[in-house]
Amino acid sequence: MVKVDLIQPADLELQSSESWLFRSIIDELSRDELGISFIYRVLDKLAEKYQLTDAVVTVVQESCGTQVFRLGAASIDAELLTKTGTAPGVYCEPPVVPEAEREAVRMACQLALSTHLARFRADHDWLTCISNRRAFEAALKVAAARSARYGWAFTLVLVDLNQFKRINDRAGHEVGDDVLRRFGLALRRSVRSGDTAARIGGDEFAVILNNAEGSEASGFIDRVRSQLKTIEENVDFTIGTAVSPRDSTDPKELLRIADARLYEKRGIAIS
Amino acid sequence: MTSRTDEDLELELRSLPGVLSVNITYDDRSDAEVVTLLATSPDLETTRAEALQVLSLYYPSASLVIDRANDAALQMSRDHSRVAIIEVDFDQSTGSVEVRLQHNGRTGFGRSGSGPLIGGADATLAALRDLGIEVPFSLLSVNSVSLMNRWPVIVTLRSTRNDTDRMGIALAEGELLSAVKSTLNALNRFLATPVRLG
Repeated sequence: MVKVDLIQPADLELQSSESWLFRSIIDELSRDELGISFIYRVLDKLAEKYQLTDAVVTVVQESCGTQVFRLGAASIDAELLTKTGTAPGVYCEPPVVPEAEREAVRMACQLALSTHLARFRADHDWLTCISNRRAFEAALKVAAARSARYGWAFTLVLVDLNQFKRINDRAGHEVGDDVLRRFGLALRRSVRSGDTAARIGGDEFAVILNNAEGSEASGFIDRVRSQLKTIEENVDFTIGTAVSPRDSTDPKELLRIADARLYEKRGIAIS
Repeated sequence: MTSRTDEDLELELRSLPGVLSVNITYDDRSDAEVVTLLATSPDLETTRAEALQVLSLYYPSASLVIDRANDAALQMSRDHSRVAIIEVDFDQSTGSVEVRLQHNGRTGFGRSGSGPLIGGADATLAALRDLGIEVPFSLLSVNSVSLMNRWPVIVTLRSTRNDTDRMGIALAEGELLSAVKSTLNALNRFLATPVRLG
């Protein structure tokens, strides 16, 4: 049998002046927390180490463009920006931090922003910023398992936009995308904290309403219609629902039931 | 700021076109109270409308402020190769000069103990080298000349590769700043070519 000794991050003898940075990155990655907060924590540590009164890091990320962060999550005004510039780098006051360490901080912050964005996109639909199909399926599994084990009720709502293909064909995909974005916004505003709203297909959405049976679902639909009015969106939709544990506690079966009810309401026969 | 939700709010706001920076202040209950964006977008009203939509999803009662990044900052973002003077300082008691320059987000520091004129030029060359910029020149002379009751500074640099000289002239507030600007002026065309960063 081969014995494997796991090397802990603390065992690594990092001799460079940036070793504190690498340890911080490893710690954050192990907790899956490498994100925007990390950037502020790194600036805090840098300020503590060098007794800085101010520090600003500028990174350029492909999706977000130029992004500027300041020590203590403090605000950045146009005047400060003129002083620090908007090129990638670290601006320190007093300017006592060695170049290599400033560059390491910049790279760490760039990594943190990119990681945060990647984590966000792994769970969210890029267009509507609500959950994507992957995150929805995971949430449905959790809700169904809890329902089977503890009898906790939840309602699965499937939503299809009516005539969406016609909008796309007549007005173009840009307008179609805008409709989807606004509908996603209406869903986000209508769900309660702890519920899950997701885009699971082109014009197909799904919502998990926790601790909700029947009547709560109709309240949700009213909220969506009301939100659509506030954003002046003339879009109609059809829904199909399934309630757990009453209908089933199996995620696939719940989806099938909700889908069948949706098509039934539309008057479309399914084979 | 520790909450994952607030992190995502900041990420969503930073993802809006033209947004450079986000600042969130909180009330006593740790709810966001004022969100300030610094943006370069030419259409700040669209940015405001989109930011309000995002903000309403997280903190419906929070207020939104949008500042426009000024033209100087935008210019700097377009021109990353520009070397900027951050600080010049002359200590009369020791006769030493300190110069801080910035290039591409980095700060370079140079010090010289030869007074404001020679020291200013010398410290500028040192600061450029501290930035990692290759400067194959040595300081040949620094002169303050009379010109219609003003005293611009002329700096002459000699190439270490061949014997060609470069001259720069500048008139700024005080002879130290004139010497620094004159040195940069002498190198201007050279630095305009691609620089090698360390």
